[in-house]
Amino acid sequence: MADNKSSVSVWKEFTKGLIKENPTLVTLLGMCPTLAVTTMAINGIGMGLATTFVLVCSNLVISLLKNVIPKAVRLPSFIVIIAGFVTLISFILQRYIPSLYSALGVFLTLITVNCIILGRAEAFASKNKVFPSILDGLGMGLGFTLSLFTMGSVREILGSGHWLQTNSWEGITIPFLSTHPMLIFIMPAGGFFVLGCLIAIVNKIANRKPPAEISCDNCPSAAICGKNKEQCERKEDAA
Amino acid sequence: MKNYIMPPLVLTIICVVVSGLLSFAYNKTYVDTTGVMTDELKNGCETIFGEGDYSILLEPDAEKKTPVTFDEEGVISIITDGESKCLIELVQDGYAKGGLHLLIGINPDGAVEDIYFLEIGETPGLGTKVQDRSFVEKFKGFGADTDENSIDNVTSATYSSKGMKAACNKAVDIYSKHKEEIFVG
Repeated sequence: MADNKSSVSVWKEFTKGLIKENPTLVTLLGMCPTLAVTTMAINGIGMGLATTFVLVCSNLVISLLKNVIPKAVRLPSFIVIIAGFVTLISFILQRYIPSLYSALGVFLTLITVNCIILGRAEAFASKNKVFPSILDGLGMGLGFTLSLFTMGSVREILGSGHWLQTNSWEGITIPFLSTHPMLIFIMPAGGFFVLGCLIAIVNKIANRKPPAEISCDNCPSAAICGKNKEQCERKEDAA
Repeated sequence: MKNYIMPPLVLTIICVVVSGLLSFAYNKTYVDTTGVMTDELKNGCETIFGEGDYSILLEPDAEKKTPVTFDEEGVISIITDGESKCLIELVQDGYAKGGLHLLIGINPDGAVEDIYFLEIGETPGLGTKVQDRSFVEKFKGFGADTDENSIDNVTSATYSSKGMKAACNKAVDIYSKHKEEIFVG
């Protein structure tokens, strides 16, 4: 019975990031890379997988070191660990997939300050055991990858009339759209439009309704701030 | 006392360990391809001129492999088969800085034979349209006397088209100025 419960909870840790707490479409974290690199589906996959690698590795290390790192230097230590893994993945991409490395550009190094990674380190990995932390990182990373891939696919198909195009492969050509692409979709305005539509679709799937009352129960960021309603109210008063 | 020593000590240890591991990873992944005929370059040469014994021109007196560039901005290397074929690898600004990384083949008449895209960092769907064969074909035969205005820019890729013309002008110019050094050197 206990085993069954723990396997359900492990599965829950993994799947929550895919839709229910999807970092891009529900908690609206990591917006800069989301809008910037999703002009092509393949860039979305590359960015998503690079972020997943950093998320899983940083969650693993931070979870292992959670009792060693003093509270006073918690955030700088997390950032150093995350920056280390980001630099490592940039070395690997530069060496083995240089085209993806140049396509991701500055957004690859900016994974270091991606709020999804620091958010999961602070909210989950620094408070939980190693295995759940890895699953949390993997779920969140795959959720991020899924949303970037979906967004990149929509923008690429509508904006350039191709799908999964790379430097060496022309990808799948979409009839009519390849000759009459809607260029607005690969421009920043199109990015915002597609993002808005995807958020609406996810809200519909998750049957999410606007809260009748502002409370932690309806807040997608509650897991990050630890349901600290007082702190939230103090911030609102200050504003 | 412990509260004053432990936080900086732990942070220092983390920084040192991460730096050490990164320097190890850097040494394992870094490969200096300066002056080396990579598979991509070879593929580009063969696409333009067909099979041949291509090599990069290197500075004869330099201690390590340094490609000849004739001090021209943006030129990365010059490749020849030692007889009549010359290819110029260069990076040119399009809409993005350094967005066009090209290999331009120059035939013995000093005109563009063909262009191979080594890398393109232009806006997908807009600037990347300059890769279309219909546009690249227009540059075949582009010589020192060709008026670049005779080639129409690609709609919605004006800066990238201008970058292509500038790159071809530069390649043709280098060939005409340094033809003898290229084939003797």
